[in-house]
Amino acid sequence: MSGEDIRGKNREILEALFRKLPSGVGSSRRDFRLGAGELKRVLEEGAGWALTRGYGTGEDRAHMEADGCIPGADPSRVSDRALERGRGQLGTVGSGNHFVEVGRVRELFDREASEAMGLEEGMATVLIHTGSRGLGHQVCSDFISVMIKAARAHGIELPDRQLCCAPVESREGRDYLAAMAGAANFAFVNRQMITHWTREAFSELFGAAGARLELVYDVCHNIAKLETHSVQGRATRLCVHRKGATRAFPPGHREVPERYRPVGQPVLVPGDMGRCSYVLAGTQAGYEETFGSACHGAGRVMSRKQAKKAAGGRSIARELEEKGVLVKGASRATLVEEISDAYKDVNDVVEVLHRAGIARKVAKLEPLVVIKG
Amino acid sequence: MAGFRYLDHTGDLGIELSARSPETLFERAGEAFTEILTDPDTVRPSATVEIAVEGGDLEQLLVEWLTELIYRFDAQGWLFRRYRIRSLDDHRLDGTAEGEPYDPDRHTIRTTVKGATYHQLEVTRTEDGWKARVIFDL
Repeated sequence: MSGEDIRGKNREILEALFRKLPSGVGSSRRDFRLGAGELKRVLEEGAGWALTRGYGTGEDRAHMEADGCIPGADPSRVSDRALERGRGQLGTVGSGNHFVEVGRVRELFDREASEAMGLEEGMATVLIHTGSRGLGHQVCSDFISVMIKAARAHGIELPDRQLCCAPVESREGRDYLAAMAGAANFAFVNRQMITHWTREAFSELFGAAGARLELVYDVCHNIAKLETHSVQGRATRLCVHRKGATRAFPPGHREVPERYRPVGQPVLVPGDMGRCSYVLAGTQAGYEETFGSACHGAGRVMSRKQAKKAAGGRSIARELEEKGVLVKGASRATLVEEISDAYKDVNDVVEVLHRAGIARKVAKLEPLVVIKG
Repeated sequence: MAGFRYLDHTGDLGIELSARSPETLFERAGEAFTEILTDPDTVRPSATVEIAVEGGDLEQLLVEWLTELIYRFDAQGWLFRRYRIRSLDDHRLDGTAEGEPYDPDRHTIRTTVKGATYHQLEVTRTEDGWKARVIFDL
C-alpha cells in the first residue's frame, strides 16, 4: 500500500482508528476486558498469548524483541491493583506522548537495510508507540515503596528517594524483575492488539492489501534487561537499564531476527507529530559503546505549561492539516502539549546517532494521519 | 485556586502547596490532582469513598495518598470533588473523597497522570503552617 492510498482515504482512516482504538484518559475497552486468569496468562506468555488467540502470526512474533516475551515473568509479583488497572486497557493507546501514526516512507538512506526491512519509498507505514499502560505504572508505584525500604535495609544512601533501588540478586530485585517482565509482556500484547485492530481497520477500508500490514519490528522501551556484554574484554552478565532508550543490536547478533541479521536490528526513533520519524539499524560501534542502545525519541525542550503558552489560541489540528497531517487527540490539551515546538528536532537527534555511529539511518517516515491519546 | 501552584518541569508536572495544617495540606494535594485531571466544577459529589494509606513518614504518605487517587481514577474511573482528611500522623492517613464516576459526556479530562514521584518531594513546616512539593509523572 502506498502513501497515496492513505492520503486518498485519510479521514476515513482517522475515524476508523479513533473508533477501534480507545486512546487517552482512563481509556479502556468495553469490548475487550480480560478476566484475572486470562490476564495473568498475558503477563506470562506475552505475544505467545496473542498468537494462540488469533491476534497475530508467527511472523509477527519473530520480528519482536525477545520474540515478544521477556522470560521470568511472574504474575504473582504483580499486585491486584496493577491487574485491575490493566484489565480493560489491552488495545488502548494511552495518553501523553503515545500515538498511532499512519504515514509513508519519505526517503531511504541505506539500500541493503531498507530492502531487508521491506521498506520502499512512498510505501504506507504505521508507527505505534505505547507500553504497559496503567498496569506498568502501578507496578512502578508498588515497587517504589518496596525499594525505599530495601535501599535502607541494604545500607544504600540516596540523594533522591525516586532513585531507590536494591541489588539485582536480592529478593526485592528478583521480585521486581519478575513483575517488570510481566508488565513488558503486557505491553507486547497491547501493541499486538493495536496492530490487530489497525489491520482490521485497514482491511475494512482497503481490502486484502490492508490486512497484510507486515510488522517490521517491535522494540521495548523503558525497561531493564539481563544481557551479556563485553566489559574490559570479559563477557559479563549485566542488567542493562534503558530509559528513554531502546535496544539497538548490531549485524550478526543472534537475537536480531534472521532477515535483519546482515544489516542490524531495526531502531525506531519517532519525532513529534508534526515532523517525521526514522527507522535506523543497530551497529557494532553502538554495541561496543552503548551496550547496544539508542534513544527512543527526540526529547522535550518545553514544559507542558510553556507549550500551552507557545500554542496560545492556535488551532494545532488546523495547522497540521495545512501541512498535510490529519490529527485527532482525545482532547485539545493533548495536542497543545505535544506541539512540535515543545520537542527537539528529531532530524538533528538522528543525525547525531548516525554520525556518532551508534545507529545507521535507514528510512525517514512522514506522518499523514495521527491518533493521539 | 488558593494554596497551590504549578511548577515548570520539562517532562513532568510539579505542584507546590501550602496550608495551615498537614490535614488541609493533603486535602489541597487532592484538590490539585483533581484540577490537573479535570474541571472540578463538573464533578458532582454524589458518593463518598473511604481511603486509608500507610507510610514511613509524611512525605511517603503524600505520595501514597496521591497514588491511591491515581489508581482510583485509572482502575475505577473515580473523579473526586472534595477531600477530607480525618486523621493523619507519621504513619497513617484516614480520610474520605467525594465524587462520581467519570462520564465522557460531562467530564473533559485535561491531563492524565501516570504516578506521583519521590523526586524533589518535600513536606515541611513553615512559619505559617506547612508546605509541600510533589512532581507527577505524566
